[in-house]
Amino acid sequence: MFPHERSLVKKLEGKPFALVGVNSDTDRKQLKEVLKAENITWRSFWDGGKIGGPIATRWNVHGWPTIYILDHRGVIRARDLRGSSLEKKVEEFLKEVPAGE
Amino acid sequence: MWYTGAVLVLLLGAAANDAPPKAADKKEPSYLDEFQKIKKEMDKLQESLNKEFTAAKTEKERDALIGKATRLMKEKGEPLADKAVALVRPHAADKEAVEVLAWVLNYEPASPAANTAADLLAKYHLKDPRTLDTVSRFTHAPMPWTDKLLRTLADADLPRGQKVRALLGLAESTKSRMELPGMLQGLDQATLQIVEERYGKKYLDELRAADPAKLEKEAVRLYKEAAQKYGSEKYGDATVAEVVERTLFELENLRIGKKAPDIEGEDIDGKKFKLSDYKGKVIVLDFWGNW
Repeated sequence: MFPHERSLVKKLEGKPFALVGVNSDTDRKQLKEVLKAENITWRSFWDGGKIGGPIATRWNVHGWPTIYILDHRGVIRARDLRGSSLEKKVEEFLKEVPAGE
Repeated sequence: MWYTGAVLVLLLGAAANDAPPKAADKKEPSYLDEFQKIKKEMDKLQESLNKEFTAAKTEKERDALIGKATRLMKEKGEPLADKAVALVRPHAADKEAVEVLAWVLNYEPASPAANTAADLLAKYHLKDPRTLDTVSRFTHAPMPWTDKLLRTLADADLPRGQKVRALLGLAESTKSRMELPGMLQGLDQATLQIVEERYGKKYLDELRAADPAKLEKEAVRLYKEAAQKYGSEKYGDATVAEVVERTLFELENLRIGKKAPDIEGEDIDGKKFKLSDYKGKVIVLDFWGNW
């Protein structure tokens, strides 16, 4: 899971892009160690320390991972893409961001 | 077949006593034995494809193998499913037939044989829990026979808990059909080709041609029907009313084209932040877990 995310973040450094996680782990301490060990640099919401926490419930998430792409205006533009399809779509939406932002 | 033996004994009366005692017990290969052979053939096919897949060393090799596997499964799998249905048809009302019919749905869900199998389950085996269990597995990837069977189950004289599952399953299936065209559009060419081969371009084109607004309306109607009829019933660790509320919220707010609701919370280090902090950027929002 992480290699794709890591490469995406690296590739798009300096561009108006953000990877934001919503994490459903139960052990916060252990998770911090995983973040360090796996060099996970992007931010994640801590979703109450359980599967089906408040954020996942609000977004009706039933399967993990669930991935949404939002454009620069905050509009949901795609869902459940992976790998190269995900990357392609992100690049598409990056082109929509007005220059200078 | 054993019927014939027993009837013969009755008809022949005393004469039957002269008949070799094994006559009534003589077992001809039953359709179930024949089915086991078909099952074995299918298992062997899958096994050999799995072996090739695990032996593949690169992603490119694996992608190529998925294509091959999909084609082979259709070429060899569909005739096996046809065979199974032809075999079971004269015995469709038997309890033992359910295993065969469920197998067809599980292994060749996109085949014409599956449509027949679903019809037979609807006709003879609505009360068998395996019918609901099997069709429930397809609510996120509905097949041509899925909704019809779910509706029949939802309306049938079944225990309440099963009717709830069937009705919610139908709502979910309708929602999935609404979402499928969008999902298909997001696939890369190679994957799309595979999906089209597996499920048939005709069926996918039908899904794509459906009116999403109409499907959304229908899905919402079904969810509301479920909440109205069964709101207080338990469903997993929530009530039907809660599940419906969440799904209606999702349908209303979390669809492609909708402005995402904001998220306020803490990060792993306990610092507060919001999703809207990243406004102006393209965001990949990733629900994940390390388990």
